[in-house]
Amino acid sequence: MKSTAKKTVEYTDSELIALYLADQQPVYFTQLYRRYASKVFAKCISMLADEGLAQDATQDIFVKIVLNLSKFSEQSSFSTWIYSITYNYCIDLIRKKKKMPLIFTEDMGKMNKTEDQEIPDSVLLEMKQERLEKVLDLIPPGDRAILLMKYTDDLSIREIGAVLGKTESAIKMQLMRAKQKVQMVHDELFEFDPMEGTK
Amino acid sequence: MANNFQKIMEDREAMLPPELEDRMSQHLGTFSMFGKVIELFVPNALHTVVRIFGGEELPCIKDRKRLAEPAWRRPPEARGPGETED
Repeated sequence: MKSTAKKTVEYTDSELIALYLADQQPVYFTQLYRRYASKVFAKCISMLADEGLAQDATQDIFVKIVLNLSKFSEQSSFSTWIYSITYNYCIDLIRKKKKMPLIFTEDMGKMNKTEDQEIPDSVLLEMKQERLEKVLDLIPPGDRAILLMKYTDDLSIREIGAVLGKTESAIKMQLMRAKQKVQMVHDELFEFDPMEGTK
Repeated sequence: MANNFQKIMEDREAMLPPELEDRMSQHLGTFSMFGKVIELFVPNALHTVVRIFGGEELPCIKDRKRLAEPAWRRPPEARGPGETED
């Protein structure tokens, strides 16, 4: 048993999937779990902002992955497939539990449509980590998901569109609105911060 | 080098409780056992239903029965091509 566990570390994701589907040996899926559980959990915490809920969600997501493993078609990488399940699961959970049907700033229509100014990536990437963490917790969950996919998972606009079932132009617009929202919330929270003396 | 988004995620990844893996292992064990039970009983149950409704014996089960007995114990008409009493 121990020698099998050692070997599984060396297998690629595709090999582990094929072996699990052929033999149904838990050891192969456990290896996949070890590779991705922490990433899925981190995304769940970021999306749901509740540790207990994130634990249950991580477990449910992996059960979903086991049950749908035979449907994975390798059109995208396994990690992208897992993240897609994770984001969609969290978005559905937020819609149901928090009774929040509008989860994107774009859907809410609160932004001033005339101010379609593009915020450069550097504004977000140079933001202080603690501040960014607070700001991310305050923006709509859909915006958070798009920003995490873009800046954490390095997904392309096309891949984000495939994950959320939207067109590339819709994602571009939602990304722009999400970045504007981040800057707006950041300015509201830290505009008069005497420690930093910014703006 | 990790950007500030990735650093936030790294901090949160470290919060994964180890007991979650045990919970997942239990689920996997259940799925594995359930799969084996289905694999073992469903074909036979289906075959029984087919026979009750007057259907023919499934070829795979016919073969299984035939191979379970050596050729010399079967009548000549039940032997496959090339099978002799030896």
